[in-house]
Amino acid sequence: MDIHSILITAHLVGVALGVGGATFVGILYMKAMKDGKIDPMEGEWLSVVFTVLRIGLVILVISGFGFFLEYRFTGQEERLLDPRLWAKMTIILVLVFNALLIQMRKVPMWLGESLSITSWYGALVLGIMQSAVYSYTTFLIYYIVAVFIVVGILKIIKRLYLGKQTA
Amino acid sequence: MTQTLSILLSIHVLIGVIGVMASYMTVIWLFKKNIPICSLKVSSLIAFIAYIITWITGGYYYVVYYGSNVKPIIKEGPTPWVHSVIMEVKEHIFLFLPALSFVVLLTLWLKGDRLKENKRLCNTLALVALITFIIAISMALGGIVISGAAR
Amino acid sequence: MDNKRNKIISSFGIAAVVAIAFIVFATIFGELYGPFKDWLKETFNHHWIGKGVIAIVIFYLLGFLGICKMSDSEKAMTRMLNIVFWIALLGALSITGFYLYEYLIHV
Repeated sequence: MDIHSILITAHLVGVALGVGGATFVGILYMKAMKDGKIDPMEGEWLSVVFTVLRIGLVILVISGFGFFLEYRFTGQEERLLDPRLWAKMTIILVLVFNALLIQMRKVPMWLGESLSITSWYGALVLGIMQSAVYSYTTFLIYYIVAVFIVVGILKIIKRLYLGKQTA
Repeated sequence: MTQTLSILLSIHVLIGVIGVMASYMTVIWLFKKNIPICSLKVSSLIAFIAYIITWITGGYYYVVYYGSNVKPIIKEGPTPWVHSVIMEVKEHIFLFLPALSFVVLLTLWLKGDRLKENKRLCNTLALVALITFIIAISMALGGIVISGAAR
Repeated sequence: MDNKRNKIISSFGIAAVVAIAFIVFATIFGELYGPFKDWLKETFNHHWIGKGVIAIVIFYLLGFLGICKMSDSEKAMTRMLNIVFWIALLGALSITGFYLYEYLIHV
């Protein structure tokens, strides 16, 4: 197995843990809020999923920088300035600062949740879209639109599942 | 680039990223309701050691290789501002990190038990940890741009 | 014991402030006054090594020497940490602003 294959595998594991973790945080949080509060056991489960999500992010970031080194050492430096890569990194930065703002209770949960889910899936989609040739700004516009769409979708899902007690 | 320089550059990048993540976890944990003092002590120590290793490895690469081999390529290329602004800023602001991370480390190890009672101290320390994290992440991003311009 | 810890942290806090201030000064002054940068290069083989070495020396020397002279109150220590944050922020913005300005006026 060469370095490139190892990096791809690690990156995919990171994405799986992160995207899966973010999805299950959303699901478990909604299930926990069904009775209006998060009891200790539900808190424990959420804590475990958050830990898995963070492990995913760590693996993703380290393997990501592994790719940067690979590009540097194999004469593919131009890939480091690819708009798609920078859009992906911007989204990861949003994810990182979003988690911080949620921890600081400076961002409402409905926005924090939507940003988290959109960011994880956005990074996944950007990773798959190898042939997409848009500018950095275009990618970000799509991302911002996606955030609003996810806010709407989550609101509908919450209304249907949680009933009138939704925020 | 020799194999030694490649290894040093790789260590610089990967250990640097570990430092960034350790600083990030320090900030996150300082804002938790139940502050995990043991975890904070570990993360602050990892961050400090990581920045020292990154400093040495990156510094060697910078002094021995960058100036004569990479800088001319960037300055003569389409993006000379990458050296004139980003690299210059990076190489100087990086020097803040060992001091900042040491202050965070020292405070956590000596006064960690006081953070739960003294919210003001905890929040102020979190600010120092936050600026450390922001500077560190800027270093990482700057490094990507600089490598990208060295074609 | 707790008072001594406050002194240590305050001392290294002020050491960090002075070290960062020196880095900012040396960076900007070095670009504006060639002989200073040349002196760093001649003394330390590279100007960047010089700035780093002097900064570490300032930090640890002031940090250890200042312990006895610092206030032992937790309030003063917290205030010092606050100053560290602001100096780091302003220092980073100053260096960034300076190089941006230098590049733009020479472009």
